[in-house]
Amino acid sequence: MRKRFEDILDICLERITRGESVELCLASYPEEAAELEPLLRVALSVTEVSSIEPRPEFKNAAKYRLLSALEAKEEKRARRRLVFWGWQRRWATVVAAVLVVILIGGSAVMASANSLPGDTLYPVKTATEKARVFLTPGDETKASLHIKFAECRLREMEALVEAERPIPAPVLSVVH
Amino acid sequence: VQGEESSIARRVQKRDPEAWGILYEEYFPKLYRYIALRVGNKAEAEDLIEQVFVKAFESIPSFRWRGVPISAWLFRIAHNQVVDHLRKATRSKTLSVGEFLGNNDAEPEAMAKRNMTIEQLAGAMGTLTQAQRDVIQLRFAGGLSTAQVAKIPGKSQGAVKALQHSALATLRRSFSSWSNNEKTL
Repeated sequence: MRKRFEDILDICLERITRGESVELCLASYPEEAAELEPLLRVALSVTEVSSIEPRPEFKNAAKYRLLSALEAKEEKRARRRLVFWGWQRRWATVVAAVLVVILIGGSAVMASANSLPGDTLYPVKTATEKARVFLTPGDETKASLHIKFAECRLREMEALVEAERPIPAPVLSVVH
Repeated sequence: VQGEESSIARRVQKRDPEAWGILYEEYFPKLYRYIALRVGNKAEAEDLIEQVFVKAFESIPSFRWRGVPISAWLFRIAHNQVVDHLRKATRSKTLSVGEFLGNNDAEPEAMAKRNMTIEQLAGAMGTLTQAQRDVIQLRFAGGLSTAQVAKIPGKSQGAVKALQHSALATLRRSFSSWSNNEKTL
């Protein structure tokens, strides 16, 4: 299909912009050459006359101002990020500490449930019992807890006897 | 070329100073020429070109590649800045480019010849429609292709080519009548 004149003109303009001569371009389109040539020459004149260059000192100063503004903005953003992550880190530490306390505390209480007098975790077991009595409302409920814990002491003594371990005096006094 | 441009666009969006340097070197002279020819005043052109880059720097987070080249995006900013500036300006100046010559032409003869052509061009540009002037300035001062020009005023490439053709034909007629007048003098 034959190209439209406007397309041919545009192709030639692109070619002469890339440095090709008007003559070479006209040779590619001999049928349109007569109409093309004056338009290409006008385009060359317009390009030549339009080749206004900015003052080099202005161009450099403006570049410096732009890149300085870019740098300042980046520094500001980096500072904001640092503050944000600082807060994040502080919060993360607090949350981690609370989780550790809960996990360790909970595990210690569970592990202490089967401990016997003289074991490392036994004080945790008795402290948990005291806390339960303290936190339980009503005298009747408190009394039933006391009975439950006294039974627990008896079972502990049986276990100590079975294991041929000495029964500490404080445990005996509790049962009495 | 498009791949290169999209890679620069991505880096510019991440505010990479090196990419901004490349963008600046590539487009500063083209944008300056385009603005200078439109406002016709050196000081105003210098103010406007800086504003264009500040605006580009501020609005780069909202730039979406989607096939719109960064060159078209920059020229659209420049176009809007110029339109806004001309609307506010109390006086309207077009193409009084003599003051832009500076030291570009050292030879007085060459300078006189160029001044004459500038006068011719200034007169001839006045005979174009605004749409034709936009296309000529973006194509020959801005150094954009017709595909890139089409992205700026949102016209089809075919329409830009038609405007380019009619504008060059009008300029040719103006230049011819100028040289005929010269001959009769």
